[in-house]
Amino acid sequence: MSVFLTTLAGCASPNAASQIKNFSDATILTVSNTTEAFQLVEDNHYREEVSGEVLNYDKKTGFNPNDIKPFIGPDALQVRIAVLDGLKSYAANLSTLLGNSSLTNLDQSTTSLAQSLTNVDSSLVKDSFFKTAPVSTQDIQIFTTAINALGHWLITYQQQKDAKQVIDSMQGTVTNICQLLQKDLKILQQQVDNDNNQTLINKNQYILNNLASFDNNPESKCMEIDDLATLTQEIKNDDTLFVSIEDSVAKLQSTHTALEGVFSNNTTNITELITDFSTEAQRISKYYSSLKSTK
Amino acid sequence: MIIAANDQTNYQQSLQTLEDLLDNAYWSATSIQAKDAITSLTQNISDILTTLNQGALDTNSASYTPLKAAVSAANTKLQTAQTQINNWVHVIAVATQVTSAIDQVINQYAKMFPV
Repeated sequence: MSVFLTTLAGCASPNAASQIKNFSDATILTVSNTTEAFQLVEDNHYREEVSGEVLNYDKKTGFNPNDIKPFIGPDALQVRIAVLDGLKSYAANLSTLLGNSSLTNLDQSTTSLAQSLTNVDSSLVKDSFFKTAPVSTQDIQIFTTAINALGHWLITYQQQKDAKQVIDSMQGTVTNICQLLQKDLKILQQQVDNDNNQTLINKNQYILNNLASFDNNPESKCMEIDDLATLTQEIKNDDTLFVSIEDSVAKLQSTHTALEGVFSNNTTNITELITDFSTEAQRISKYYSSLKSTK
Repeated sequence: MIIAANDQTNYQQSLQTLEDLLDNAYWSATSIQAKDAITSLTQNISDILTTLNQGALDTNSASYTPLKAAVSAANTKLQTAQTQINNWVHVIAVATQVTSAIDQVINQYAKMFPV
């Protein structure tokens, strides 16, 4: 089967197959990193909400579970995940087109994923990503078209035989989806920053408002202050992380734009781009792991 | 009625500027009472920014009416804060910037929430 597909892919060299596989791996890792960023937004927002509940417990006559709400609602999250899964599926299928073994088990759910992407309309894009953000109606339409196109490609990809043609036909789609993700990440980064700063203020104010109680329990006071210092470090780390993820998505875009270069005689430029993109994706993934181990 | 994208953007940016300046003001404030008052303001502004990042701002959306009420209440607190900020924060540059940012937010409010 693998040999058959390689033959179908035309005259792709083993080097081209290997390069596309590296690009595909890095794309899948970038998608995974971006998905984790959504969780980071939710975790930090939850922490901010809880810190506000603790600080205002007496003023608000107790705790109300309804006051704690997620930042990204389930519908908006589902659309984001579908877009990312679509991108992942595209990268994985592109790689198999060149004879590489399948990198994901997305095949089983590709049909329903593709259908959900083709059903996305401009109002869903606006509601899910840019309810108030400075994005024009034209941009919303461009992003919607790109998401629909990704869905259509996933429906028809089994009929595609020529990887070079596929890359060429998907240039606009991948570019627009990467730009959608970058705009989204900028908004989420601002939200994380606001939530983190508010958490820091809430926690500090809680200590100040209860100094007398803490004076009877210096160990507890020490732990709370230590927590503030740790949070300060986390704020810096989260900021760095979001900048890196945005940068990584930009690298995905620029690498895909130049990806047809793997079929040319001179692959120096595309090799550098893929290596750079792959290194960045792996670095962010490791960074996530290190953050998890310290939190 | 859909609120013009430019007005939304300007309002959101003015709130974000104020939020950042109030953060600075909080850490510059020298008394617990002043910090407590500023915390209350930052919570209000942060909640409004969160809603703006989450909720569609057209006058028919479910989030519009509660948001307008929250913003109106916050504006009253902000106007009071303008009279108090020099007592709360003794770094003149910070206090002046906060006062100016509050003016901006209240000016943009009229465009965002027409009567």
